[in-house]
Amino acid sequence: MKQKVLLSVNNLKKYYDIPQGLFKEKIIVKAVDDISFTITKGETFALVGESGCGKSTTGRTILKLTEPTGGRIIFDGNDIAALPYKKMRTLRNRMQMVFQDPYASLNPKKTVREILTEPLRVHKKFDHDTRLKKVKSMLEIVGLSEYHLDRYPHEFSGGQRQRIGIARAVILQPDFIIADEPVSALDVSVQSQVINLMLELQKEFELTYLFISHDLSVIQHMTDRVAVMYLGKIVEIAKTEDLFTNPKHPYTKALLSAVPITHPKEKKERIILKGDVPSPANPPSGCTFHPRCPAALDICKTQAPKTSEHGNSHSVSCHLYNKIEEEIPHAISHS
Amino acid sequence: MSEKILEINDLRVQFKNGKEKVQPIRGVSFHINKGETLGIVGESGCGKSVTSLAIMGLLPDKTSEIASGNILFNNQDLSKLTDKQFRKLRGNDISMIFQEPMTSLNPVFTIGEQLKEPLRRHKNMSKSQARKEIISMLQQVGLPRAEQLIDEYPHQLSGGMRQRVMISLALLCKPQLMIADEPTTALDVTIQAQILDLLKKLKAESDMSLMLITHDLGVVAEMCNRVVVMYAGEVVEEAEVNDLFDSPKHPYTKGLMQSLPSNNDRKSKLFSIKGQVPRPSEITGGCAFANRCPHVLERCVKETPPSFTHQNHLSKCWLQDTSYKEVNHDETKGTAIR
Amino acid sequence: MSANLEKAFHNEPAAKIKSKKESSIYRFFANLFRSWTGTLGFIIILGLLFISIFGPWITPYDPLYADFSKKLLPPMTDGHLLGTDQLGRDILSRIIVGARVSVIIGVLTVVIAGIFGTVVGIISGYFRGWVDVVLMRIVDVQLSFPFILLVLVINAIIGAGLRNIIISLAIGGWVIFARMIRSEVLALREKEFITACVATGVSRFEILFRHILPNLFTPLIILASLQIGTFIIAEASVSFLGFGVQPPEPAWGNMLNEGKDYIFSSWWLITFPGIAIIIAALGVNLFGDWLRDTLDPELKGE
Ligand SMILES: Nc1ncnc2c1ncn2[C@@H]1O[C@H](COP(=O)(O)OP(=O)(O)OP(=O)(O)O)[C@@H](O)[C@H]1O
Ligand SMILES: Nc1ncnc2c1ncn2[C@@H]1O[C@H](COP(=O)(O)OP(=O)(O)OP(=O)(O)O)[C@@H](O)[C@H]1O
Ligand code: SF4
Ligand SMILES: [Mg+2]
Ligand SMILES: [Mg+2]
Repeated sequence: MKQKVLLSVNNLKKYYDIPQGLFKEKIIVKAVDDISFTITKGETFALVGESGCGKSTTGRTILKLTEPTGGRIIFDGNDIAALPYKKMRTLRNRMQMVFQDPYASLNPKKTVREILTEPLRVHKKFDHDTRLKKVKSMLEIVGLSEYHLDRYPHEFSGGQRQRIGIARAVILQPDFIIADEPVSALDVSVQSQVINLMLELQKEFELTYLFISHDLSVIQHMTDRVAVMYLGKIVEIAKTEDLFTNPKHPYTKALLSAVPITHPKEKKERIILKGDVPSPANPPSGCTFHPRCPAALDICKTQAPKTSEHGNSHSVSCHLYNKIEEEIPHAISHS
Repeated sequence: MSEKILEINDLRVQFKNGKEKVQPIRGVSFHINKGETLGIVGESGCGKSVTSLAIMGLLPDKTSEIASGNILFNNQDLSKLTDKQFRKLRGNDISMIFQEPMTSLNPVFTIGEQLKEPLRRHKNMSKSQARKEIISMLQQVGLPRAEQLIDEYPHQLSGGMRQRVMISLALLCKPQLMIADEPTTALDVTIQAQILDLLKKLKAESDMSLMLITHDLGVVAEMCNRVVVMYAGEVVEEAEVNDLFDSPKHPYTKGLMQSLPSNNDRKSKLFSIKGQVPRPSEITGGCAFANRCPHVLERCVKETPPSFTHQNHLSKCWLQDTSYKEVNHDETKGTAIR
Repeated sequence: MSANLEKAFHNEPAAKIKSKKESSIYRFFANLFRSWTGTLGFIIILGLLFISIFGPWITPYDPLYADFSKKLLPPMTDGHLLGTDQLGRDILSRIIVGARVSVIIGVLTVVIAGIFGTVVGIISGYFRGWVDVVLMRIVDVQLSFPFILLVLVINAIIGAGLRNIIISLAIGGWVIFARMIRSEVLALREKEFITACVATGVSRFEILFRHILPNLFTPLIILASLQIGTFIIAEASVSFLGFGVQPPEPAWGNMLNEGKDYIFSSWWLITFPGIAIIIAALGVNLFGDWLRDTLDPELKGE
């Protein structure tokens, strides 16, 4: 069955200029560098990668919270980058966001009532009484209650605040929600409550998620497809089960092997990567992963790999897999 | 039985904030044997860091006090030491790695200047000797170009490199006990793997004891010999690592393990512990976990459970009280408070 | 959601609600009395407000009534607690009535300078661009002049008198507000809850009025309370130099000015108004410091 594409991102780029004063040349940080993917309706698509690889930037650019440097974002037929501010505002009732930090993302001076009515008010949905009813039932759904209506964010724990943040995103009944590390700041026992809530809501409201995380076990649990990012680029996209059973890119392999074991008797073959993640302001030449890659070829140092398909919508950007399809004389003669 | 290097008995720590008093550490007891790695797990705010600060004598003087209990390090009571005696101990016999690699190094001194300090103080080394020692230590923790690095400033290093510097600082005087307070929480998974690998290697090479604080059960499974599980300022379970993962006894530990996504079917509803950790002020009598516990008995609400030990497996829960269970076995479910 | 879960979320007991009712006022005083400096400042401010409102009715003598037979009486003579001045007017009465001038000037100047500075700060910080550049250069230029000198120059141009001294103090003082509010707005703009508003679809003006403004309230209150002290002293300095509030209208500043000629022969003429100024400024500053310590979450965190 062919699913309807809800969001397609094509060659998206987001560069930040960082001025270095009068006499030095400015630095360009390639936070997101030419990434493409599509999300179909109803699925949970994950972005995984280490700190600073550009996950949040991708999410923010899709919602036009920052302007892209290049590329196209098509949401249900609308070209986001080209939309004027006003039109974008109306589109926002269909795409919402849940933020990473449950402490910073709620206005400390607003009560829960104000926080949750606001989306309905700005999109002019319902009259006053119906809004209140909606807010109450939403609170109920996320496991809080009417009793919390006139409380301020600081009166809640981290997990409860994240519920409020989720309620704010879901109350407009959007089609699409970007969840930027929604459980990273939470404790394990609370984390599972929030994950359950998100799964429940997805079923109930037929939501499509872009789920950003660096926690592979959470991703394995709740997503359908995964894109692995490294230094602003997507290095591998695959179905979740596929990715965890048959990772192709050397970085994905290392990432999966780095996850701590779940039982002391479990034995795990570990790939320890050399060195640190390079700065996106000064990425290595060729394949940006080559200085840390245990399988790097000579060609990796000079030439960026192309993306190749490997059936079952599994795509990889790595010379190891390019080589198989089109013989590269270069790589062989040098290595 | 192997020798104990550290023993904590019924430690209680109190904080004063104006007239309010809170006691986030409410009777913690455990010990560390020579050469072993003890894991301390628990959720945010359960008192892991405060316990380790108490051991190091680093609790804020004015606002906190050790209300009762003692901390024995090689049979010497640390809670009675003067500041001066502590300074001799810290960085020399006991050292500590902190959670936040970004803030635990002083930004205005070079790496060398910061690492030199303990060597000069505790070991009376000359400058050139110290420098040599530092460089070899930096190499040992896997830092590249140690000769240059020693003259660089912390901001020139990445998070993972800083944590390595912190580890080398902690190791310099060859301590008998190292306390690592969430050494990898602020780091990426691939860097975490590097650091854990390094700690394992260092442990294998010496007979140092390690107290590893973390909230990640995976890290515990990987690193530790024995585990202490803390909840709301108490030790609720203590066991050999295999025992703990094979047969956790305390409902909190059980819940924690069951709620890990890797222990649940994909896309299924995760097991979860309802509610949230009580604030120190909300804990009255009874078991601190009672308001979240799926097995709660009437007795749990009224009486604080003692620690029950069966074959070195300690659990602070009324369910472990065999005598009680036999009598009331049939009623257990009936009297459970909903 | 399971019934259990819900119960777990509800079981924060009723005590919470009760404490909510007595909350703001009760907590304010509970907090205040914990700090003796704050309490002292608060008492001084209360006293100041009391005598500036009821001053004319509680003075022992008419502050303007000159009796040359009783001029330059030292304190504690003839029923003049603080003595009399060169025209035989009762100094205590003049200080009491003069309090009103100081309070009016302190409060009004802060209100005017505060409103103007806040508007400029918000425009600068929220809309950025060339407006910001222009406004901030103006602020920079003005800040490079000494505050008192600037006030004197403006006062010399527009003339003396209560109204004009307020205007010139406000013109001299708004830049502090503009500067602080601007940096405050810049910081708020980057906060995640503002980004969250944008993501919800809240319009730019609503973000400004509903989300940024309420968060400016605390820093504004703190700065205003600290600035009142500065303005009271500034008014006194300006009046002392012969500008500002003109005699025979009693104000602490011009009392100093008149008394300075008798500083060696009759010390009380200049001493008592001076002490009044010090106490007033001290009270306001102590209170302001306490406010900052309790309201500023960054300091609170320590
Ligand atoms: N406003 C900005 N100005 C300049 N650089 C930025 C800005 N925002 C992000 N960056 C840079 O872009 C890169 C990607 O950042 P981003 O926040 O997207 O990472 P991330 O994958 O979300 O990381 P994390 O897991 O830490 O949240 C980083 O190197 C960051 O320093
Ligand atoms: N200086 C202090 N003053 C008052 N209370 C404190 C202080 N330091 C810690 N506490 C309280 O002690 C309790 C335990 O804190 P602690 O830092 O030990 O937690 P933790 O287990 O290390 O948590 P985390 O995983 O977040 O580091 C908390 O409730 C905390 O609020
Ligand atoms: S392209 Fe080369 S360097 Fe990059 S991941 Fe593949 S093998 Fe490693
Ligand atoms: Mg991010
Ligand atoms: Mg801690």
